[in-house]
Amino acid sequence: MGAIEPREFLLLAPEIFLAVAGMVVLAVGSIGRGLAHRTTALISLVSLAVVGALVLTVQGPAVGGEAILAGMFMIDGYALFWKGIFLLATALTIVLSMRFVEEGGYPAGEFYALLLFATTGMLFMASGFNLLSIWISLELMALSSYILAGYFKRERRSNEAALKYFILGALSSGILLYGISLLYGATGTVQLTELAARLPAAMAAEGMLVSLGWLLLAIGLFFKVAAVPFHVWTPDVYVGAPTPVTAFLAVGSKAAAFAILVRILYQGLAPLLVEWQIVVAAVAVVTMIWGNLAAVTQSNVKRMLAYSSIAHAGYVLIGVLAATEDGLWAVLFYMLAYSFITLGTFATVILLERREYAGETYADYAGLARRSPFLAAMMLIFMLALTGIPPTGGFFGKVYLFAAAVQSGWTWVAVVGVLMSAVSLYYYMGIVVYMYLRDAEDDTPTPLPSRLLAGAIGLCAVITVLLGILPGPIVELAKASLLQLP
Amino acid sequence: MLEVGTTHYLVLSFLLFAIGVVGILARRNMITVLMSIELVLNSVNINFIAFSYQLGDLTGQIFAIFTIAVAAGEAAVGLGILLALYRLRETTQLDGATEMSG
Repeated sequence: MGAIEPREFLLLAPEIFLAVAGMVVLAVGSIGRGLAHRTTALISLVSLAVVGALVLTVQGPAVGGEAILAGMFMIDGYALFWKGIFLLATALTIVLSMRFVEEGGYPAGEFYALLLFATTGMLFMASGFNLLSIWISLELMALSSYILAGYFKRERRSNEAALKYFILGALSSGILLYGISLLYGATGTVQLTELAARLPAAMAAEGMLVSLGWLLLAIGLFFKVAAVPFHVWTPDVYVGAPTPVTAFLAVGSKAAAFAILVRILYQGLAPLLVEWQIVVAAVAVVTMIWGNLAAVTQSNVKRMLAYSSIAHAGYVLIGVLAATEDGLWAVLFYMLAYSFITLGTFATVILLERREYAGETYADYAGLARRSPFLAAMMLIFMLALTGIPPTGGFFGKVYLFAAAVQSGWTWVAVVGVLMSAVSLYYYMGIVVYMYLRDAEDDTPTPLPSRLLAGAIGLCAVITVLLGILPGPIVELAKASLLQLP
Repeated sequence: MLEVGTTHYLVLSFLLFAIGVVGILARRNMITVLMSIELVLNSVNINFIAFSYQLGDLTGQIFAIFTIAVAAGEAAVGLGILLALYRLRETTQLDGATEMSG
């Protein structure tokens, strides 16, 4: 480990800028009566755009892979791809939140500042190359998310969501950390490449310590991606949290957790490939089965979407399991497509929410095709995409994931995935049936209260369809963003 | 004389960890749950410092310092949520927080 050059801090400019921007938003939000909601949101959006430009210009040239700050962070194509997903997801979440936060009557500065802090954590997670830096970044994201989930603090359900998220989140990071401490004890390092280099010898000398250590670490990560049987927090948190926050958790937090899960498994625990493949396979199968079956029985749309997001975590785990180049780029492509599909779905739910928690039951969607043909058509696209029906991005996403699993010899897991996708058709199409075939109680047209929100929904739908017609460019981009394989 | 070695610390930390996890899952009072979370994080610290001493490597101690800092942040957020709970329900018991079942 040589001396640290100032240039290495310069490479982290995007993350540092975003953290400062978050503090500025927090400050201007609390001076006097605070700036108007829209101004605060605008400042946040502009800073995200600047961060995006910084990522491209400062970190872009280092896509070949450069470890900085004594191996604490890694700037590579893999991190850049995830950072793109996080920034897009956060920007869309801000657009989704504007009307919601305004009508909620809570201060806006804190809301957007916390979103920016959580995003800072995610950016660091994508680059994290040391279990210490990865864990701190994870905590930065998690602590911000706990507060965001409880943002409607005078609302019982929001408070309850924050409470459940906090308790189980703290438990999971405790388990994760205990695992890290055992791995450290067995190998004497927490840096991923050194860990991988020392694991074989440590396995021979301290087999128990290593096995327990990586298992606990993996359990902590499965908690964060909401995989069965560590998913119990998900439905309640997704239902109780303000809907834009739910969208953020379902897309941003999940993607960030996958970013570190893949990086730790592929680079840190590479020598344990055979062991973790078995565990990931078991978790993926249980997650897909339980997530889809539980979603079938739900009557609340947000709760159904929570179980569906659990099921989707299962599909992504199939790609992780393959541990091939095809599996890895399939995971990246799928997470990108899934982000737009899920954000679009939640945006539609938000638009239907007349007051805080309406728009949640299936009955609220009855006759939507007549009340608002636009919203019904958008929802139809998103539901088709979530099921994985062409011509949508969800179709190719699933095809790539399942194909990668078959190629690497995990055919039975892919078969479970296909079967469970068929089951998911039932509950996704349930909404479509309500929208197009049931009559509403009153036929008054649903107005579009926010053009901006409608525009965001349209954008998500267009991207979803484009990914289904022309997946090529994004596939090429994902192929250029691979990690070294175990 | 019995020499106190790394194994003793590991056993102690495992006991603390187990007590903490059971406390988080089984206790119905939010304040007890917060204390249990601290137990879990501190059991990790004992691990890190014991290993650090055994290996003659400073990484573990640095990690422990970071853990202490994050634990303070976690406690602050936890207390904030607890305060909101108390204002809504006039209780710190978790039994009341069952608007949603799952």
